[in-house]
Amino acid sequence: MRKLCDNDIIESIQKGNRDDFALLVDKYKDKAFNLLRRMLRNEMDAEEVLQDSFLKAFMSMNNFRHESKFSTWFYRIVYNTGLSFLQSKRKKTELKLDSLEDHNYLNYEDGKILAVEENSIKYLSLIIDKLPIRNALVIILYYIDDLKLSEISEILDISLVNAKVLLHRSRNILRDLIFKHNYQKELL
Amino acid sequence: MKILDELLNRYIDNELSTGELVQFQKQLESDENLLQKLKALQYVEQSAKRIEIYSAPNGITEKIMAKISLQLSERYKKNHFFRFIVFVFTVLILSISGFMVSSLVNSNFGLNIKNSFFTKLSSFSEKEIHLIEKFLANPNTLLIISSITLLLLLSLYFIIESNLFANQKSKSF
Repeated sequence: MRKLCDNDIIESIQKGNRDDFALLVDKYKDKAFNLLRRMLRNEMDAEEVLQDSFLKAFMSMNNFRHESKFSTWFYRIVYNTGLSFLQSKRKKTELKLDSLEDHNYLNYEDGKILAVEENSIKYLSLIIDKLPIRNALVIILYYIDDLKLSEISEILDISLVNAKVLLHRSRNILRDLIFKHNYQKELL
Repeated sequence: MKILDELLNRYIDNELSTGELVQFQKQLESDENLLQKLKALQYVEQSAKRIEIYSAPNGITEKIMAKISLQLSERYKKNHFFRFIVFVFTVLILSISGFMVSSLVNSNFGLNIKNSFFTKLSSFSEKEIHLIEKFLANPNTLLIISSITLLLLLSLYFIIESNLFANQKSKSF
């Protein structure tokens, strides 16, 4: 049996088979939820925004022109809906933390995580949650969702050069923390 | 420091030229700190792919599909309400227009003219500007015209507003 690709499903939805949207939901719900959970740092908020994101995607389905991949287009909706949610909740402190200059904040969080971490992978996962939103997202999109930098730049609405700089900075801060705790010695 | 960071990242991304690669490898052999930093970066590369993924809650697909169905039915109801409003306005405008024309014909030509409505209308058009002035001088007529204008403007407002809303929604992504 031929496996349906995103474009087949979208074509079917655009023809009026709206129940086929459930196939897209099943395919992207975990990745989108993971992104929102990292972005909003709260499970219930992430679920609410996830539902809104899929609803927006469905309502805009007729406007999808296949100019980019569905995943990129959808992630963009997810990211923008998450940002709007943060703005509406006035979580400005989280939005302001858009630079890695705030070392004191990160060192404080690092100490707390180090006290509870079970292993180095868990430590990395927790410390990513403490990074500024865009730095955390670039790590998730690049390593977990396996997206290209060009796709990430489209989702985050930044230039390709800025996406690359953001990835390098995020990697460097994680590298410095790994180096600080000597976790690299676990490397095989 | 920043140059070294840049070199490490470019090394990880396989972006160094052959010359840069040879020079960087020599540097690695002589600088233990740099080697450890590279290992730390490689550790990030390997471990980031294995970090915990938060899975969506159970039954989320059903919830989303139910929300979509609800949204669609609400939109359908809203459309019907808007159509009803437009229909009421149209009927009102037509009724007032009809009343206005018939009252004009009656007041200006009297009931003794037994020609068809179109004959009356053509006769009316032959009466020059003074007739229109006379017509506009009547406060009742002005009231009727004002009412029609107001209704037209309201209808126009509703139509433009609904179109703008639809456009904004479609362009928001």
